[in-house]
Amino acid sequence: MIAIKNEKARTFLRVALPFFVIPAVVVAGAVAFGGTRYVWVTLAVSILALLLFISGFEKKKTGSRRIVVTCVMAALAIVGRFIPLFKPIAALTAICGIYLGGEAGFLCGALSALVSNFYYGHGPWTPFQMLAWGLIGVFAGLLSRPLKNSRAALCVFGVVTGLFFSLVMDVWTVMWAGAFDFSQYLAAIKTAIPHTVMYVVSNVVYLLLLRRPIGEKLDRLKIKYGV
Amino acid sequence: MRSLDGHSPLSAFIYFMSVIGLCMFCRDLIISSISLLFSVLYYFVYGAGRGVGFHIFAAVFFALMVAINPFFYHGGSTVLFVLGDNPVTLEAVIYGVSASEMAVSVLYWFRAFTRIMTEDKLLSLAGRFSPKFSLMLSMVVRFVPLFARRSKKVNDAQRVLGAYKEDNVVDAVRCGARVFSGTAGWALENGITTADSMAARGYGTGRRTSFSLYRSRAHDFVLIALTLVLLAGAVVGAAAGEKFSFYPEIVVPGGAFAILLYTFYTALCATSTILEISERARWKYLKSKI
Amino acid sequence: MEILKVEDLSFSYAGAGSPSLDGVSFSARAGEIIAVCGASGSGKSTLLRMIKRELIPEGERSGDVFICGARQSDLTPRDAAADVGFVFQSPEMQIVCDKVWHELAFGLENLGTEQSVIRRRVAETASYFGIGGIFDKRTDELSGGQKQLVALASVCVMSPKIILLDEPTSRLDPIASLEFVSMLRRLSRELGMTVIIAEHTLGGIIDMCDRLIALDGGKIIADGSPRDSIKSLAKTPLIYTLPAPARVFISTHGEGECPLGVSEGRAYIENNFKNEIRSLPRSNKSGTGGAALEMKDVFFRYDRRGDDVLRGMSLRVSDGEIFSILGANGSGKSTALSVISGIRRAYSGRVRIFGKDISEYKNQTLYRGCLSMLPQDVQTVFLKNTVYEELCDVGGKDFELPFDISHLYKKHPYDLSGGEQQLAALAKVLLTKPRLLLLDEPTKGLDGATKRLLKTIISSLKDGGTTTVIVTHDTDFAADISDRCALVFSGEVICCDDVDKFFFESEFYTTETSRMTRGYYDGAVRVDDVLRLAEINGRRK
Repeated sequence: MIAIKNEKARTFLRVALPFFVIPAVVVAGAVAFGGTRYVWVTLAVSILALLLFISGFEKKKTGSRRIVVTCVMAALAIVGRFIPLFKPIAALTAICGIYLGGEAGFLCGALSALVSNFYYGHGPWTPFQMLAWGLIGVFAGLLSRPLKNSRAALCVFGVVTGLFFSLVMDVWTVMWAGAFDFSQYLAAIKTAIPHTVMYVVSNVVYLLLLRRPIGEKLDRLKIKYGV
Repeated sequence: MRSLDGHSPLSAFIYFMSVIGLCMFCRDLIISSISLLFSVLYYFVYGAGRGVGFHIFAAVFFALMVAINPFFYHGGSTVLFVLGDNPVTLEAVIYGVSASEMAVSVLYWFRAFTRIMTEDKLLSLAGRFSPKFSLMLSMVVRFVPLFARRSKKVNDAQRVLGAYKEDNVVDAVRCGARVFSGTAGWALENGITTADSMAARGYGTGRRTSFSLYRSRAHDFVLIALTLVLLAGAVVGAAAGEKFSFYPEIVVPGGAFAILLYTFYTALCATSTILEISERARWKYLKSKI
Repeated sequence: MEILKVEDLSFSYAGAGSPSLDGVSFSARAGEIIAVCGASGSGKSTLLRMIKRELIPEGERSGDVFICGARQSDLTPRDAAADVGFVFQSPEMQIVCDKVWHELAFGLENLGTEQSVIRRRVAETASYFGIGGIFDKRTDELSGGQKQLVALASVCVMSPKIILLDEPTSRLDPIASLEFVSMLRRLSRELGMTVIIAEHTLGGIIDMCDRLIALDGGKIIADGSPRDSIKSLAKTPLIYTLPAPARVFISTHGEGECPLGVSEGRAYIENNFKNEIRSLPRSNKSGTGGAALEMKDVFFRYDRRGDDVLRGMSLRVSDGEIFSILGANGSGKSTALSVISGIRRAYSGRVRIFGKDISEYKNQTLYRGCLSMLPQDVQTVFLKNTVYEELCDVGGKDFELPFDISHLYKKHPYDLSGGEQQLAALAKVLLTKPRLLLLDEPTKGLDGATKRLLKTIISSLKDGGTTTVIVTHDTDFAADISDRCALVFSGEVICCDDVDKFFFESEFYTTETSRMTRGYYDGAVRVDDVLRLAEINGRRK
């Protein structure tokens, strides 16, 4: 779809796209539609972002082992969701990003969101969730070194991504219900506080609990099989 | 005519996205009402789900959203009553109804979507766009039940080995994490075999194609054409005509464009139900002939 | 036509001291079936991987491989992938896609084949393999045998000239193995594909292969027709995996053509040995102690609406006994084990462990010093990074094992060979100090040497007072080790007897030896029995 020869430019674009281009499109869209079609614009944009990412990925050569390991991580995240009290998608996506890089992290998050919705039902939130979890994976990949070495950094990361995911999904809830309104958004956040706190805490706990055992396994694969 | 189930993934996908997209795009009481009516109708005609849980959820959701909106929006000219310092207006209530109708109808449409667009169909769609992503999707879809079964096996094996020390919750969570880690170890190690098996069958030798059992046939093109014509008509109606407005007072648009929008959107929403019913009728007819 | 030629091939893994392959040369013609056999670690898997370019491991290699006359390294990626097919050991993990049809199409998709061509080839292959009925099924719902058949089909869809198979039947039950092997035969005879199978048990494949290549320490020690080659296996552990007639022939230093089938073996014994003394003195093995395990009218089903899997199963195992449960697939043997081990609960009937009802073992006490189980898939036992950590996990810092595996302590459990994994898992299970030990298919996929080691371990446990219940398909193993055996069919115990009586009186469900000597010698159910009888009776003139 888009063929950019320069490796650095491509990486830059892949990172820049979700953070700069897309928010810009959101604002432009909001202005164009007079501030009443946020849902539509954001939805369109998040689908666009996903498609752009995937088409970039399609062009690249990726070794079969890397592909399989990423898929295994995504599937494990979903299987974890079946265990009661256990919601490790964000944590596992982050771990995948930390150990295998941002691209694998993104794919892991996006795939687990998409496939888990086969079980929990699709909705207009599907692309949103894919993007939100995917971005957590990208962030984890970018911050791989500090997150690998410091538990404190990992805790902070867990809190921030937990909040990020909850807030994004709250934005979504409000936008979906009507035009975006800040007071309504605050109300939504307020009602979601217990849920958000639970989510953030569990996110941190699973990151701390799973990073070492799963990380060791991924490191072993990297050494032994050159994943 | 065949039901939506019997159509190719692409045509069904285009249909659903047109219906849902337009409904989400137009902030219009009449559009959202049409959408809600046909989404619920189709849900039942298709038999997208059993049990009342989902309907109760949808009803509560609907009621809550209708109730909440007037407390945030105080625009509108017809004040119904004043609560504290805030006037509750008819316009805000109607707006709430419209927004919740939209949201709930989308829920219903997506319920049917989830049932009709099975993993298989979504995979074949994804394969058109990105064979590689579609392959990964296929793998994840296969791995999930495999790993779920595996984690049960690991759990059984560990239980007999005395991994659970007591019958209590803390112990259960601790062991849950151990079992999960054991499953992960198995899955990652044995994933190398999957990767080798891919390489052995030529993965990465060149550009991949994506094979699909679904073929687009004449009736698929008919459905796509119909959907696009109805969608285009409705979009033209929505863009060129007067808009439905809630504030300061409710104005229902009239004129040719508005009629174009409403009739075409109704036809679009009704298509799925009509296809479903006509197929059943045909089966009944064919059976009676035997 | 020469389809494959291996020339003076040597290979050592990166970082390994001794070479895994040492000057291996052989060639194969179109349509030949070649069995490559050897104990684990003999280099047979490595040899197979060296022939498949995509799977060549990291390391140092010399020598050359030619495929259809072309040097392996000169092949285009497409030809390398399509001309040589590879089937792996694990039916579970070598499948890539979610649906059977998709799996069949996978290889052709990778080559960028057009839709219409894929459609045709997939359809043809599915019909040829007789898997049209499961064409639309999800791959994770298939049985092990079906999965392996799909794996084979998904390789054949690319019309390879050579198919390499790495212990393809070691995880299958006997019936599924038979079906799989007969499919290989068809591929070679009807389609002219060259089939090369690496195996460490020879029973199932020896009578269908055209050639047998035996490897030991990375060198070819025999290469020729199966009947000739196996004579040179006498000194290797492989002899224990040969069909009974061949074992009798080799152990009695027979002359001429080696017998492979039951009737040939019978003829060999009748022609060479007298039968004045027809039976050996029999010792009564049946246990007399208290009951270690009692099942009384146990009924079980997985689902309230499902069918009964156990239908009134009753069983009594005495303290200190080795008891084997035999039966076909789906007869409920494994389910019975899961009920005995307390993983599943019977909905009616009674299960008593050492005289106490199983439901009275509260708070997981059943699993502390009382009962333990080695599951069929031993990888479910491993959670840690080294074998030592695994053992410490249940045994504490200083533990004692009835057998020595200290050379494995530092290794990662997943780096062990199949046999080593079995031993490590058994060690972990034994560290829970069970008085009642349950083994689910302990010999599946084991090589001859490990199988023999397992036998000595189980008998030494018996001397220490442990009761062992084994569920197995392996009649030879059951005959060698058990005190008593039971046959399970359709969720019920059909018969239960002293081991000699059990195998002597069974018509079909018995050892090859028993079938071979029936009516000539009485109660000779093991190869050792035949050898002793033959020795006592002496040779015919």
